[in-house]
Amino acid sequence: MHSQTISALAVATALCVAGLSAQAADTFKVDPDHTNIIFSVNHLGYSDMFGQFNKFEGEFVFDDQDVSKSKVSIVVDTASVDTDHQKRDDHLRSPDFFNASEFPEMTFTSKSIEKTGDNTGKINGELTMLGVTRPISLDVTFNKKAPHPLPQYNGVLVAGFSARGSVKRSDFGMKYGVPNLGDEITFFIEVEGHKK
Amino acid sequence: MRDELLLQTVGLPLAATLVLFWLALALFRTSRPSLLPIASAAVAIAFLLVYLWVLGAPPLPPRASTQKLAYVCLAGLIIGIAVDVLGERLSSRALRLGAVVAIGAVALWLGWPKIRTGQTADLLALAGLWAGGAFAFDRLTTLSTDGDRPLAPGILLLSSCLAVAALGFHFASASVMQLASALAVAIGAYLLWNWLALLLRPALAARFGFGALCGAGGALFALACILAFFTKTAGWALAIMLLVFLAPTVSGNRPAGTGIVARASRPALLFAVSLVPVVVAVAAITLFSTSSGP
Repeated sequence: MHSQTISALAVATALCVAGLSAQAADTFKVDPDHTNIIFSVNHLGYSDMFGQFNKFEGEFVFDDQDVSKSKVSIVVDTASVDTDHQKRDDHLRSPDFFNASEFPEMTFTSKSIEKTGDNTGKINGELTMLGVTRPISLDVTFNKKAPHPLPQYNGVLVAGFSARGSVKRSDFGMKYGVPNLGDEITFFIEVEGHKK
Repeated sequence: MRDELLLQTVGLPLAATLVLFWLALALFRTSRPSLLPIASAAVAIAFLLVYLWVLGAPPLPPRASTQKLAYVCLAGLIIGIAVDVLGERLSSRALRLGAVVAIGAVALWLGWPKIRTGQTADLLALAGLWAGGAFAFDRLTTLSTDGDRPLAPGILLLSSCLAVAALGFHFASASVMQLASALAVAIGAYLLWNWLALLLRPALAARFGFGALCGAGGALFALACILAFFTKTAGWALAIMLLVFLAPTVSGNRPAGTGIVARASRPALLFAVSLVPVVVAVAAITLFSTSSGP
């Protein structure tokens, strides 16, 4: 009897650990309806102009027990650049800037993730833009991971993050207008992902 | 910023062309007169200097079409100067055949990211650019050996540059517009010098050599490829531009005569006639296509 109890406890513990482990590293699909990839670039020294990409897809693995095991990959449709100004958007899609017809995708893939605080970290990865791959670091804040509260989502597990980072566009060969149009592009990324 | 734009687009190509042309003229005029056509290659070198200023040094290997453009110009310049040096030792037929292959290769290389997808529109663009480029090169080569109209190849390239600049402006590529404008300024500087020299001191003139033809022509062709493949530029507007190369047939050798007025007017008339398709193309795109200028 005693040994049966121990065996049952052991099995239960093993199942719990297995269950916890599965929960610790979940894979999430980026929810495009609640994700924003926004950028800003200086305009002739007068102001910072903001724009965003409207089409993208990606997924991330989030391990809240060991964040170093987390991963992120995202693909952005460069033709979806949107600054709320049709002519400027056409110009941004042209060979002068994102060259969307020749390079329709911009990708980000994480290489390592390190914890910097209770709910903050640094994602070191590679950004490929205009066919050029360069390292980039994003400062990331973990906001929340919990089942979605609205009934139509059927309690799907959702994780949300905020990320900030910047690149020099000239490093990617996007040199037109530098330095009058700022060389530094700053990214403001707000992501929600639904567990796959 | 406006001053920098003017310096890049007008000041540098103008000054570089005149200085380099004068230096080459001084170098070859008495010692190697057969190499005088190399002097006109100043226009392609001036264009490359503008490119470096506007877009910086391109990586090797180049990734984007705008980076490949610099290498197309450089390769054209080197091959063209080699043709100028070898002169009549080269078979005209072999030269034309080589040019047709090179034009197709350039269009394929520049447009590859689109062509590899196998879309009909992109394959048609490739065919159109190849045929159009070969036609233009054939006309320019024929004219470059026409002793009666030494300025004609430069005039046709100048009008074509203006057309590409206008298309670049209309279809949202400021760098294409700026580079085509700078090339137009460089060719314009060459033409102005030689127009005056042919009227006043013919010894200070040098015909439009292959270095200029392949360097500047290659750059212009690459700019047209970028417009065709990677912007919303209407193919028919580029096709209208090809009519520029028929201008010498229309203008002929009018006005006739050997006086200074007739000699001064002939290039001016050819330029005016070659501008007609440019004006038609610009008017048509203004009327019939959606502007998306920078």
